[in-house]
Amino acid sequence: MQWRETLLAGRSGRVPAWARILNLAIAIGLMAGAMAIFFARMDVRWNWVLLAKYGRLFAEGWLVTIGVSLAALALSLLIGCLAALAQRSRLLLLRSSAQVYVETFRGTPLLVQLFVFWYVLFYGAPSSWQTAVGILTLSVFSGAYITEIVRAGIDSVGASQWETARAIGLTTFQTYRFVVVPQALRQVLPPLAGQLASLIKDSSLLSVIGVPEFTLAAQNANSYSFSTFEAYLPLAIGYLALTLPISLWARWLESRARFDT
Amino acid sequence: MRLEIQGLSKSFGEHPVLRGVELHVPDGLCLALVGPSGGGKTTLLRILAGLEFPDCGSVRMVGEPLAFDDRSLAAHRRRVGTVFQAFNLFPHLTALENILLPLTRVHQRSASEARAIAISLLRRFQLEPHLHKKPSQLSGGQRQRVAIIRAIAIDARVIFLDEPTSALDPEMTAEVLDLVAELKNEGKHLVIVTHMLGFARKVADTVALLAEGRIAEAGPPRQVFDSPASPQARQFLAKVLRW
Repeated sequence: MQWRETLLAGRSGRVPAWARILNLAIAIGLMAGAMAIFFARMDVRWNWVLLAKYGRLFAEGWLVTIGVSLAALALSLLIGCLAALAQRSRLLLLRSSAQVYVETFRGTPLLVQLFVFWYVLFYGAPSSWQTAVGILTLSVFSGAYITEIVRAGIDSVGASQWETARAIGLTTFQTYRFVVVPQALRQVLPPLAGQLASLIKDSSLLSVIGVPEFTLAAQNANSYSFSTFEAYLPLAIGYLALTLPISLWARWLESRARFDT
Repeated sequence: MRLEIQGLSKSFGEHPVLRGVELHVPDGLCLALVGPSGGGKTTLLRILAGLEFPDCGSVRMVGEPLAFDDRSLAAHRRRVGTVFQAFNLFPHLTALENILLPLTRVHQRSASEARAIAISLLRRFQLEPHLHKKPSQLSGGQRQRVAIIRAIAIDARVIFLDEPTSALDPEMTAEVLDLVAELKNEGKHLVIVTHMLGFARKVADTVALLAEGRIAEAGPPRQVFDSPASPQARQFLAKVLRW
């Protein structure tokens, strides 16, 4: 084994697979070691048996998190597309409204939005609405980011494409359907996958209005058992199990979009 | 094609591009627009193709006046074909799909009818082996030829070509111009903006030389190239024919 190849990327940026895996393993080892040292210093008495009792609670919460995130992704995609179209509208009021929406919801914390939605907008709503209101808030929040993603995707389709579409006689709707959307989709998919990963983590805040998702499950397990770390470590791992594949997928989509253009 | 243009002017902001273009083409199939860059050739072609509004002036094509409002121009664009300098094809569609799109979506041909039209044209112009290729897999010359086929597939009454070979090397230029010349032999009406003066001389019936937003010289190629009357035309031809 040569030290140079093990430690340094070649000038062309090429790295042999074994060197990449080895370095990745070392990095993970360093991270695990650091954590082990910190936990050892605290002298925690691990109490995993108690946690086993709440396994079901965790599993249910984890599934709720997945459901809430997927529902919010679908709804925020709809909101994002509509707002991105509004930004391109000839009606100036629609444009300004879309702009106000995007800046308001990107510029304020999700926590505040959740409180406003649940305690003000849906004041007096039955507590069974918690999950629905949580999804709605999360969608409106994430929709603001998706608006910008979609706008960038549409902008990535060059003026020459619009011009050609006009020259062959396509209507505006047809131009979007047959020319712009298929090309924009390819550009939009990687950041959209990234947004889904953010959405999954952001959904943890829904616990503050009592949505029975993954984080609330951990909080409850903690308050029943007083085993804080045994409750929150599985939480971190549960989120990572969802976000890691998605961010790897997003990266793969990104490399594919690069090669095709 | 009979073409009458009167007092056609167009400015982009403060910058006048066409300053009262007057042109009368009595007949003939192919009109070539030549002249120095910035002289207004492309703008004139874009107005004729229904892609741009003039500030004032009138155009009669084959006896019919061009109405400059959104709806009429959209109808006009559906009846003519336009080929730009580059980036004509949609990159996410194959050569065949590029030709099918206007046929099926704009001209309401059935899928099988459209396919038959597209394939017979691709075959005639030796592009059949490439019909399932995406534009990125085609050479520049092949791309332009597919774009021209897309324009004629709809049975366009006039084909407008805006410097269709300016982005190509000499070999590809020849293969595209061969196709354009063949269209003329078939009786298609063509309006072409070009820097290929040899092509204009051989193929065009009428050559119009634009300089500074006006027609400096117009007539049969021999007259325009061999005995130009205006100083702008003489100056331009002296410059480009020197090498």
